[in-house]
Amino acid sequence: MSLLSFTDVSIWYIRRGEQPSQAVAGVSLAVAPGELVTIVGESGSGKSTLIRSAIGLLPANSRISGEVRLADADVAGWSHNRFARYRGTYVGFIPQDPGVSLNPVKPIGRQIEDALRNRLRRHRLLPFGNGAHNLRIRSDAFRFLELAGLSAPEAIYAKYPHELSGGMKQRVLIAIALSGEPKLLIADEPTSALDVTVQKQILDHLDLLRRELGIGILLVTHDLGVALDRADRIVVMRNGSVVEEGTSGEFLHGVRDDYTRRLLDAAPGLHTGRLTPRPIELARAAAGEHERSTSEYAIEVTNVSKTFTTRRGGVEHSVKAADDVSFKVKSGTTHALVGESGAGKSTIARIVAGLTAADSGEVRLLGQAGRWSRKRLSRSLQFVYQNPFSSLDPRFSVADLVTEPIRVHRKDIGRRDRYEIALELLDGVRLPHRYAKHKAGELSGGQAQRVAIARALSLNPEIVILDEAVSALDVSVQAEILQLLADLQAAYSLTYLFITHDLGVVKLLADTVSVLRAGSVVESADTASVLGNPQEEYTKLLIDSVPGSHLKV
Amino acid sequence: MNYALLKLGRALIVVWGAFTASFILLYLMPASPIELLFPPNERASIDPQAFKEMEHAYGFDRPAWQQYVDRLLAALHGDFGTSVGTGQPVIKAIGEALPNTVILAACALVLASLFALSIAWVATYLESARLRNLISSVPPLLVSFPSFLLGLIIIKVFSFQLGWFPPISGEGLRGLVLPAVALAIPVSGPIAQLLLRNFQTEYASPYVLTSYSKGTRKGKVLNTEVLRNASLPALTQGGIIVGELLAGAVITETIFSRAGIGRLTEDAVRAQDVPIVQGIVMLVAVCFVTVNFIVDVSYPLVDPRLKAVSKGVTA
Repeated sequence: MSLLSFTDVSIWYIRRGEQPSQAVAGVSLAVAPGELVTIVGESGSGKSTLIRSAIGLLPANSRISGEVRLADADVAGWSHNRFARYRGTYVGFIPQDPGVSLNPVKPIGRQIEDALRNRLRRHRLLPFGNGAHNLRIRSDAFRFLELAGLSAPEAIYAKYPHELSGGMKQRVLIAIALSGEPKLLIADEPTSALDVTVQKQILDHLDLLRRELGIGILLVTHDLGVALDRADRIVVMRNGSVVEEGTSGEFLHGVRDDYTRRLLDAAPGLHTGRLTPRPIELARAAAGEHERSTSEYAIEVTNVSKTFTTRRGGVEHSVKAADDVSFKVKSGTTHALVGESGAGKSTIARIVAGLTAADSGEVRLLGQAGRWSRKRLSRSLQFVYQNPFSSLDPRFSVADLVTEPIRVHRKDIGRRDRYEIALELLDGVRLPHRYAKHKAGELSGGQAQRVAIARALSLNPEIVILDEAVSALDVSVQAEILQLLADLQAAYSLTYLFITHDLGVVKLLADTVSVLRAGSVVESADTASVLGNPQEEYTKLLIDSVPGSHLKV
Repeated sequence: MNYALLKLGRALIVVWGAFTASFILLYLMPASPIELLFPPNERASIDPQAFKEMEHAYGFDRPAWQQYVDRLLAALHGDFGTSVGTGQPVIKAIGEALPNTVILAACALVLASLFALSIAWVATYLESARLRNLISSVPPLLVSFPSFLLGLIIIKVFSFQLGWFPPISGEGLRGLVLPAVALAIPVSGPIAQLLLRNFQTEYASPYVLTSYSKGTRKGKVLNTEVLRNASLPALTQGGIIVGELLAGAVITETIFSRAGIGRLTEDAVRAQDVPIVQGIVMLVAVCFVTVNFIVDVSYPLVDPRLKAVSKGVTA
């Protein structure tokens, strides 16, 4: 008998004065004890909505039809208080974002004790004399924190959530989910916000719990690599419906559905080798007729160090964001800076762009050392950031956004010419002309990132720094943007400094790579040799942690 | 520690500023305070000699800066002069009136907070959108209702028609009920609005889902998770709320003929009793500054995120 079964479940969101929008359309799915089922889908596929219905955590403006069966009860549409009996004890929930999923003003220990108290209320021997009961709860809390992979629970027991790292918070949430000894775990992208090495540890741990405790797991992810690595069964969702279902073996041997095929092709972890640029119908190179440099290296970073010092409570803390960093980037190639959060990637990028001053060391751009004027620098070097929506003013039209640098730096170019240039740039990033009049707020994530790239290219720079430029995008969109970047590089002979935490995308775009850890370069060489034959333990660990990297399509 | 000293310094500057501003406004007015002692129709016939003597006795004939320095030094010793009307020292007049007002304001504050909390709690607890909207519309109503009218309505209904409480507030608990309610209702409006908004934002936070997933019931989720997070920001409004209580006390005490700072203010303003008015201005300034100081200093103690962290833990 299955632990959880959805039968023909449909979920709508209603808003006053609007048509109800359907998030889930007739999904049927079951999870058996000891089974790991993953639901894969891109944003808006309804995967989170579906699994939240299984623990009754849908928002108040949702309406559900069909049957959601937990053990022997149909729980669809139950109130919070009616559902309370099943939550924690039968079904545990691991939320998406560990950063905001713990109460910020409660110590960690209290938060897990709450969960235990809910369950153990009935087992109290006497209504008074709580000493023994409290002691039991405390030792149980320690046990579950250890079970979730926190080796020293007493050290964090009295800490508040903001004092823990993201990985530790996620483990606390796993401990809370396990503390009710549920038969079924529901996890909503439990590792998407974490570094790859931490992601691997946590997924390994869930796997272990499944084998040892025999609990069923329903895991939602946008990463097909994770699903292929771990799942007994994979369910692909799109626009609220299931498009394909099968084992990971079946998926690798050939998928029936076109959409799954595209997802599989787009998954960076499953790729080998660099993307080949496709020809681009080259428009007149934007607003730049200035002479391009002929130096061999576009970026040369030599022995750069930077230390940040903060004072808190009278005690000085210093963090080495860059420690004697050196690397060179040949003109027209891509150099990737790879590392986990806190490795100093962004600091180095800011030093290269002249936004942060280094403590020591030298940066040569296009063969020239010394200080660059702001104006000269912005014509030669541009940034593309991770989140296009926060770097584009939502009230500007796309045409204005794309030509904003021209308006600032090239006063000699008139309004009408600017519009012409905007259209050419949209051609370059393969965005139809009709978008020129749209506002940035009306664009999808992929379209907005195209606009951000077009804007970076408008002054015809030679160097573009891509700071996690594809990390926030869905895999299929990510693949398109990476391909576009490869095309543009060939067409405009650009040099990329590509900053990412994701080793999977490195091999698609980078010619050379530097692996960073805690501000220093662990390994730096051409991409094929670093990824194919890593010399350092840390690099091996990083490569090993990329989901789907061991699989062959 | 530095933080507390900095806040204390700022508080002292505000108090000094209030003293200076009230001195300029009250003592350097074109009309001499002595003139105000006499009824308007007799002012023309004051004996200039007697006027001079009185002016000299009160010290109003000296240069303004000298008066300012003298009064500032005296104020530092707690001496704000004597009432022009009754001849009683200002500090004593305020001291006599203060306890009554403190009791009234404290009762009103407790009532207002409880009322505001229940509105916010119930509005968040209810599942029915229609009932929730109905309850959410109560605070704006309270804010917009004029307090003098409210006091009169309350007297009319509960004293004259039902006869449950005396219309004139004397000593004892029975006399306290009506004025406390009349004062609490307008004060609870803004608090309720703030709490309602905070409850709704906090209730939509992901940690509430985590709490539900532990098997916690809705009432307990509100009490143990949402309540504290939602009411902490209300603390920062402490200074403003105290200001509203004191302002409300003037009207309430006048309507219910209750002795206190409000009545004293009303009488002093009507009689243009300048030293008393300045004393009250200083009292309000000190209250305001003290409450804000306490809120500023205690906030890091109640919100762990603001505590200075010397060492973090990382995986």
